[in-house]
Amino acid sequence: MEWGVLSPTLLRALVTSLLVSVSCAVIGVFVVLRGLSFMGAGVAHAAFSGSAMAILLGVNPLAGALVFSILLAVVAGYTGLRGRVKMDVAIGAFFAFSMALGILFISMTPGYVVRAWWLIMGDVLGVSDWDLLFATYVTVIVLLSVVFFLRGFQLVTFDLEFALASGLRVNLYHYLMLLLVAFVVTIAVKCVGALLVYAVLIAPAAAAREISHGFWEMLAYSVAISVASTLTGISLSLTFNVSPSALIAVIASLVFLALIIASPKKRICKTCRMYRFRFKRV
Amino acid sequence: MDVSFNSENVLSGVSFKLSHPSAMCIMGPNGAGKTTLLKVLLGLIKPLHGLVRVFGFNPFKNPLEVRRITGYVPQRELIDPTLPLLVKDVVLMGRIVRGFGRYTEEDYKEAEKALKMVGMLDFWDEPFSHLSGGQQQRVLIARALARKPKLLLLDEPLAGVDPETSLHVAKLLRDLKDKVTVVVVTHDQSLVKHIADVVLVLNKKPVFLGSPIKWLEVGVGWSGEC
Repeated sequence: MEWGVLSPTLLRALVTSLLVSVSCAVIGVFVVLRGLSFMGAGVAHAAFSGSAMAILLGVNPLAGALVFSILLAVVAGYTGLRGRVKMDVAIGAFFAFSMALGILFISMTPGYVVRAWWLIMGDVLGVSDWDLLFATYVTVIVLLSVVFFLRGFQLVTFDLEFALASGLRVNLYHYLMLLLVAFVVTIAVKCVGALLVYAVLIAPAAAAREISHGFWEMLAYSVAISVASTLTGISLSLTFNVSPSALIAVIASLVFLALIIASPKKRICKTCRMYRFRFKRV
Repeated sequence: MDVSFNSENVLSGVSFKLSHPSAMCIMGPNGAGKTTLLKVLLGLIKPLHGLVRVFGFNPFKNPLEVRRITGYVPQRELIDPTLPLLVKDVVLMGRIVRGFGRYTEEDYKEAEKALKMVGMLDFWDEPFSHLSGGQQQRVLIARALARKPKLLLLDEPLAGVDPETSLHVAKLLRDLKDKVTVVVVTHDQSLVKHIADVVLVLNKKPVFLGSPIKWLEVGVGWSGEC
C-alpha cells in the first residue's frame, strides 16, 4: 500500500472508521455505565444474522443488519424493563438464536461465503460510499441525540429510581439509547465485524472509566482511546498486511488491560498489596 | 390502601393523614412494605384499593404534579458509588424535570444552596467516588433538596453512615420539618426521637400510628406486641 497519497479506498476506510470509532466511543460510555455490555454483543450478533439474511435475499446487508439489531435491542430492552425475564437472559437467548440464524442463512447462500465471512471479521477497506454516508448519518444522529438528551440519559444511567421519582419519561430514554446502540453496532459490524464490535464498543469506554472521575472526562478519554486505537490499528495493518479490525480490537483491549493495572484508581494493585500484606502477616 | 404484588398482599389497611409541614418516621422489619409505601406516595406503585392524595393531587392521575413537589432520596445501596460523576453533577440531577435542554443559572444556584444546607459546598467539584459513604448520603439528600420540595421522602438515609453524618442528617431534617413535610423510612430510634411528629410502624399492615412519645411509652414491637 502506498503511503504517499491516500487512495479513495483508503480515505473512505479511514473516514468511516473514525466515524465508527467516535460514535461507538460515545454510546459505549452509556452502555458501560448502565451495565448493558452484553446488549452490545447481542445486538452485534443480531446484525450478523440480519446481514446474512439480506445477502441471501439480495438486498443491502446494512438494511438487514439494522432491522435485526433494532428488533433485538427493542425486544431485549422490553423484557428487561418489564422484569419478567432478566435482560441478560433474554439477550443470551436471542444471541444464540441470531447466531444460529446467521449460520443458517450463510449456509443457504451459495457463492457468498466469503462475503458472509467479512460480516464476522469486518472489512474496513471494503466500505462503499453508501456505508460512509450511513456512518455519517449515524454519527450525526448519535452526537445530536447525546447533546440534546444528555441530562435524561445521565439520570437514567446513574439512578433509574430517582429518574422515575423525578417524573422523567424513563421508557423514552431507555428505548432511545437502545436504538442508538443498534445504529452504532450496525455501522461497526461493517468495519470490524460482528465478533469484534464488542471490543470497539466496550473496551474504549471501559478503559476510560478506569482513569476518569467525571462524566465529561470519561467521554473525552473514551473517544480519544477509540480514535487512537483505530488509527494505530489501520496504520499497522497496512504496514504488516494483517486484519485491521483485529488490530483495532487488540489495541483497544490492550489499552483497557493496561489501564486496569496502572490506572490511578489502581483497584487491582490495591487488592494485590492487600493480599501481599495479609500473606506476610500469616 | 392495600398493595399487592402477584396476588400477595404487601401492604393492607394503611390509612393516615399528615399535616404540612410535619415529619413522619416509618419503621418496621425488612419486607414490611416501608419502601413500597414511599413508592405509592410517588405514584410508582398503584395500590389495589384505596385513595392516595399528595397535596391534593392524585399521584396516579397527576404524577408529574406530585413528582415536581416531591424530593426523593432512594436507598444509597442502589447507586454505584464508583460512578464517574462530580458532586455538582449529582446535585444538578435534582433539577432535572425534562431530560433535555441545559441547566440554567437558577439550577446552579439551587444546587449550590442545597449542597450548602448539607454542609458539602466545599466538595462542589470533587469526584463523587472520592467521598465517604456518609458524605455521599449527604450529597444525595442535597440532590433531593435541589428540587425545592414540599414533600421530602427519604428511604433509610442513615443506613451505613458514620455517627457524625447521622447527627448532621438528623439536625438537617429537624430544621427542614418547619418548612417541608418529611417522611423518613428508618430503623434508627434516635432519629425518631429527634424529628418525628408521627410514627408509623408497619409490618405489611399498620402496627402502630401515633406520636413518638406514645410509641416510646408503649414500646410497640414489629408485630404489635408491647
